[in-house]
Amino acid sequence: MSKSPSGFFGTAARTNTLLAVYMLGETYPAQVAEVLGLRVYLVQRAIESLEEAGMVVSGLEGNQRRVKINPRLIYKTELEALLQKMSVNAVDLQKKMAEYRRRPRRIGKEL
Amino acid sequence: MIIDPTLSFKDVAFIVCTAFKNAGATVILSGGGAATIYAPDAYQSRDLDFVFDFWSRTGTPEKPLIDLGYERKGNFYRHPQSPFTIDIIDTPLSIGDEEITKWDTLVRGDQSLNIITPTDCVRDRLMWFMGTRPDYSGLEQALYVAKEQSIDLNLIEKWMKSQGEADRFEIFRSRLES
Repeated sequence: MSKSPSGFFGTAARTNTLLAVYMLGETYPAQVAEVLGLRVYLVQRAIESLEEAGMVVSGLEGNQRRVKINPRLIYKTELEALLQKMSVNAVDLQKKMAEYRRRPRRIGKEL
Repeated sequence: MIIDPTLSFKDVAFIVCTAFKNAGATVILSGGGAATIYAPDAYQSRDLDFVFDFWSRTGTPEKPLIDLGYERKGNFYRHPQSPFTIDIIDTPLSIGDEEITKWDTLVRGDQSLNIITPTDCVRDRLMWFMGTRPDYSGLEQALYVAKEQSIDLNLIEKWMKSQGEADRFEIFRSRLES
């Protein structure tokens, strides 16, 4: 797991989950879990807690639950400024995220 | 010019570009293929994305490839003797909304390869890192190229900031300087 101020937003799992959601823009629990090297249920628990605190929002898209930073959070700008600082230093996490190709390949091109 | 399994990615790029040139057309290597040319030890694409120059977008675009032994498979061209896919893109060479009208030309003997500049290659890769769902592989590829080639970092900074991506530029710059 990347070095970030663990426990800054409660537990290390909660902090890193929030950071990963910020860095990924829009994502889903399984992707966050894979990137962080955590069990999915831990990430889901962290997301539920963060959603209760109003920092993230989630919603079903088809049969997947997608999560992102709450666009209506009153201190969204300040929170994102902090997460931005953290993400600049989270080099291990950036590299782990790079292992996931998020853009589609044109039809016919092999993966 | 014959395509065979021993040819490298760069070899094939030169051959294909030269074949088009000999047919009177200008194609420019872009995309991940350009990143592979600029940072071959760090990033290996299997796709050669060639874009037609405006004045070349007429006639029979695929003939030089067919003459080399390529076969059209759906949207792409494959050669039985090469692992690399060729894609010929018939839209203007651009990065986002910005049309690109200048590129570099590498020369090797009697062969030439038109290719987007290293700075534009970095911008092209960073495009995938921008937006609401950033692709961090785009960041890594941009860094590979930026560390191997001379780039205009000020231009990249201005461009990313004009796109509302100042934060992501800071991530790129921090990694580049580390």
